[in-house]
Amino acid sequence: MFKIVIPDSKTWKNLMNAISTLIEEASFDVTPEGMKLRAMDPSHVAMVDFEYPKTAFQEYECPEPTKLCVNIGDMLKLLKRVEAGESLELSLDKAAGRLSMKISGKYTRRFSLPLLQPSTTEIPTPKISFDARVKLDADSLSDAIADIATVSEQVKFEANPEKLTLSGVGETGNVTIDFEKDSSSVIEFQVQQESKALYGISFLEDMIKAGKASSKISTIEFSTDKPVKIDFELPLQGKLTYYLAPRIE
Amino acid sequence: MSFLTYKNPSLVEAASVIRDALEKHMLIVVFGNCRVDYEGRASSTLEWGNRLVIIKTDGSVLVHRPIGYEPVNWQPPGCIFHVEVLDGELKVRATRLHPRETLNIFFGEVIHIMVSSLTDTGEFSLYVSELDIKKAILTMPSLVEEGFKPISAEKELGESGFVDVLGEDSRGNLVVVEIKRVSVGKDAVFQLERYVKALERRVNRPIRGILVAPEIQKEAQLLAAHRKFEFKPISLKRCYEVLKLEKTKKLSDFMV
Repeated sequence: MFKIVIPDSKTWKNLMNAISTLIEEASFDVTPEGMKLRAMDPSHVAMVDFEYPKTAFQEYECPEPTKLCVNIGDMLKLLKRVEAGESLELSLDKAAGRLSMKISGKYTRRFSLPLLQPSTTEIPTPKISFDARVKLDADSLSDAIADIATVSEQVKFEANPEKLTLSGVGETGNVTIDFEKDSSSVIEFQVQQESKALYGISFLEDMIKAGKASSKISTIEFSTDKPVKIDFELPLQGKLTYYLAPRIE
Repeated sequence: MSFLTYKNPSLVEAASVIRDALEKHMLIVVFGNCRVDYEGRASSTLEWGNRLVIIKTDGSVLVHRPIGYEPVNWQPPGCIFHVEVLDGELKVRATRLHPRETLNIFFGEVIHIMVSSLTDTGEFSLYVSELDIKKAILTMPSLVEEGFKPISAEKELGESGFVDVLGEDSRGNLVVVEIKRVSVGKDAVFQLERYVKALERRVNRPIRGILVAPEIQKEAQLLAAHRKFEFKPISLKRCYEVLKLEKTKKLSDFMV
């Protein structure tokens, strides 16, 4: 059993949207410490790692760990109806096997969603040591990826101690974007070793577009021919992190 | 199978061995130091280096560097060859007429030549399992249809078993895909029906059933049509190519 109140349901909608870029059914672990979810897309190329500590909620009651599995697309359909400033209360109606969502604003609305069979597979995080780590403005990152998407289906990430370069090569043209370490959109820049890797753009685009709705600050970490980790900084130790497997040239 | 090998031949000797082997349509393998020019739809030059050059019995040419699975230069079957020693270099010219493309290989030194007449009439068979077809569909969902989006593979539907691939079409319908490696028989149709019915009890949205296989049996076709299930023919060769082309790694490769 649990009861959770989120002060602004827009925040929640954005986070759920970020999760829904990879999966259709979301299996949350609701524990006395907070809510978390880790899931891979069906092709096992991308992963989302989400954590929201109890302190980030307005109210949080969860005496014992519970699994909560819902169709996230259906949850989003309901959340689309939500207006800014309305609060959201999530609770479990175990008898009916449903998740209750109470939205309070100028008046009160109640929705409920059927619970699905939660998945029981535990997914580990990829074990990678990253040679390049660049913290940058999420909007700039999103723009860079959108630029490259106009010509190519994949993005090359290259980092050296001076700059991070994102580039795409296509039939209609080539795009190169440089984030120099002292440029205004770069917040932190650590490159221990020159690194180079290639990633599919469609996942990247979806992840970054969805992630930047929740955070203005993104951190990219990668190594040569290894997965890229993209982290969106959330308040109060919340976590929204994506991993994406590389393509091989 | 005849096999001849020549170690450290002089350029003149090498030229005569290659010429002779070309005339007899033998397979020629040359190790040597060479440079390569190509002129055709594009042009390229490759500087001096130690390489492996293969001339196959159908007149195709491959120039391999010590690394990479693909040749750095090549010519398709049916080339016309000209071999001569000129200014201290052994020149092998392979010309294709339509479109006109010329590959010139200049050897400064030949280390080893092997020539052989290989007989090979074995048939090449593709081994694509049901699981491979599924992987190919997850990699390239348009194999099912344009706009198809997989949601999960091996979705469990209680007693009804596991759905091969569950997804959504471009209009938002739920799609249940049942895969067969050879042909769709009656059983496959009944299986799909069980999944669709089990799903209908769980969700309230339109559900489509699609049978994916290289072919469908006549009686199964009728049964499928009655249930408004669709049949999508899939080529095993295409699946094989998709899987071979699959260059995206899986995250699970990095979790061990």
